[in-house]
Amino acid sequence: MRKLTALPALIAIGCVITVAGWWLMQVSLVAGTNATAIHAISLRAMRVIFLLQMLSTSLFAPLWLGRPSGQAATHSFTSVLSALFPAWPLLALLWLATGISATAMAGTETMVLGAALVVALLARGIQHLVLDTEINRLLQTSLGIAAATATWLFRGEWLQWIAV
Amino acid sequence: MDGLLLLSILLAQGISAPTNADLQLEASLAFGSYVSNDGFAELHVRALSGAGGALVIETTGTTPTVRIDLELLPNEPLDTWLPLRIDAAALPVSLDARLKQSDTQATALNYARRSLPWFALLGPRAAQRLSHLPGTEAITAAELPHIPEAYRQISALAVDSAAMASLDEEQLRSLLEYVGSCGRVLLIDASVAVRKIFANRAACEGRFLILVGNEENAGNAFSLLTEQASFLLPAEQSLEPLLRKSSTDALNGTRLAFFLGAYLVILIVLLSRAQSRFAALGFSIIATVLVLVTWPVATSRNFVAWAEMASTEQVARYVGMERHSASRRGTVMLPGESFAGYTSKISGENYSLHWGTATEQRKIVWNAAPFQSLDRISQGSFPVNATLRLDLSGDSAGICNTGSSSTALMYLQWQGVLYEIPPMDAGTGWSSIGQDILDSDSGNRAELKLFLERSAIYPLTVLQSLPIPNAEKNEQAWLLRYQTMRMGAAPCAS
Repeated sequence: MRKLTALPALIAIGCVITVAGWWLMQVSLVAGTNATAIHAISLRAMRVIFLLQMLSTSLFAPLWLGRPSGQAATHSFTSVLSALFPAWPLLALLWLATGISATAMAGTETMVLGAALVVALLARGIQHLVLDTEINRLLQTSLGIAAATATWLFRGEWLQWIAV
Repeated sequence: MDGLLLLSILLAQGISAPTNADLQLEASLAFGSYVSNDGFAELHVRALSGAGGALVIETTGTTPTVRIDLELLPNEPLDTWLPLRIDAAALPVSLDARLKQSDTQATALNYARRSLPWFALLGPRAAQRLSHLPGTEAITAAELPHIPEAYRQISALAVDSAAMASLDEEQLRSLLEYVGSCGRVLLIDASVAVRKIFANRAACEGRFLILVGNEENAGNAFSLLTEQASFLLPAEQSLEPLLRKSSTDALNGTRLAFFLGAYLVILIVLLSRAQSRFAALGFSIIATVLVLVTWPVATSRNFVAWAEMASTEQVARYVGMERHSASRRGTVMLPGESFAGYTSKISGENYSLHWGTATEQRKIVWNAAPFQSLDRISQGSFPVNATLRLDLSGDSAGICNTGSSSTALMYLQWQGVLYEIPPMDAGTGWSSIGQDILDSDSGNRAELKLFLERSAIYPLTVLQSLPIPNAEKNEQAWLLRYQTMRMGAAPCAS
């Protein structure tokens, strides 16, 4: 098993810093007895985290395949995983602050992981079918962009998962 | 019934009727079932069962929902009086009662909504002499509340001596609490003993308690009483700055940011340096588990009370604010009764009230979550020994410690100027002559700001910290004494 890739994790850390900062600032403005507002802010922060995770993994999963000769499948998995795990403590805090079920939150994270692995597998298929390196890279990049676009366009549908 | 004041009758079913032989239930609200604001009303429940057993009553149309657990003895009627908050926009309130191991019975409350102000008349002579006045409504002795919270539903009360004699102990105690919180009360033909009891408990220098004899014009006295502007204590918003920041508050803000910051820094270091393949992943999992399992538990309580009294009286009335802050998600059971006075308001969300017959059985069940808090506003009055005498004579203000012990640090406001009074020994005094003026912005202390705000209408006021028996951290109380008239010089002994 390969060492976890730093780049996806660093991208995730950037997202965590941004969302956590926004969340703490918003909550500090309404903290008190306004449970509805705190709940709504925390739920929004949670959705943004999932959306950013989905976008980043969809976009970059085709690029995290590793060398064809290497342990590509393992590398894809660890890369996707390292794009997700930095946000877990923040997701746990957001879960505490919202009323959503643990199943919905864990299910959404699993779905993000699964979707990213599907994109990675598709990219792997392209890698095997198209031997021309330039065309291969173009197709994989296009696949990432298409997956990210679909994630964005259908965000309302799949983010309903974590509605209360 | 005054058509102008009566806004609507929301529900007009019978109060209750027994629907089966095993359970009889009656429910009514105090003050003739008139509800005039969103404060607590008093619910009177009378239950009787041949077999006895546990009775569960749940309300609908109340904010929040209330669950009442009663234990019935066979063939023994049980009376209980409980606070119930009826929302102005609520649907008709109903009670669904269920006797365990028996049939279910539902009963509905019969109540009407009135606009403020409305004035309750208790007793035949009160009704006879005052019912012609607008906004008045006669009530029976049984309809007078047993809990002081319910007095927020009226603007004034007139009681005659016949009705006074028929009140039970709890009703009398609640009525005295109302008098002690500057509630408007007109006593008609009261005996000397009753007059004395009420006069001793009256706050606001007795200006909201009027005693009239049989021959006096009760109508004029009552009109005078109801026209008096209310003497309100600081509102919730004014008390909030006085609450000390608790460890939970800090946890919610600064410490939470610190936790996330430290986590991310360590994660970056691990990602850049660690040789172990899954060190970063493992660390993230550990941090997540820490959040879920070991995040500081329970809630913290902050409390502040603000009391006020005239320097010439012996009763101080107060308003208290109790804030429970949640540090993690979960169900929190809070005592149903405030440890300080009676509850006049609860601000928060996701809570319900669980009432029982005994006070200690009453709970507030709160589904707490981080960053959320539940505020309880309580009110009451307490006796104060007159150990301080304020003097306003000539061009100076003075204060004299007439008690037997030394005082703590105090603040004095005279004509808008603030002074700090050092501790005074028994029998010693302090005069404003030649004293340094305290900058009102010094230290930016919330209590001094509120002190100056509240002092605006009085020429002379003194603020002192009040000791709270068995006080815990984050609990504090303040007492403001005011002088409303100029007094002759009364030098201290020393």
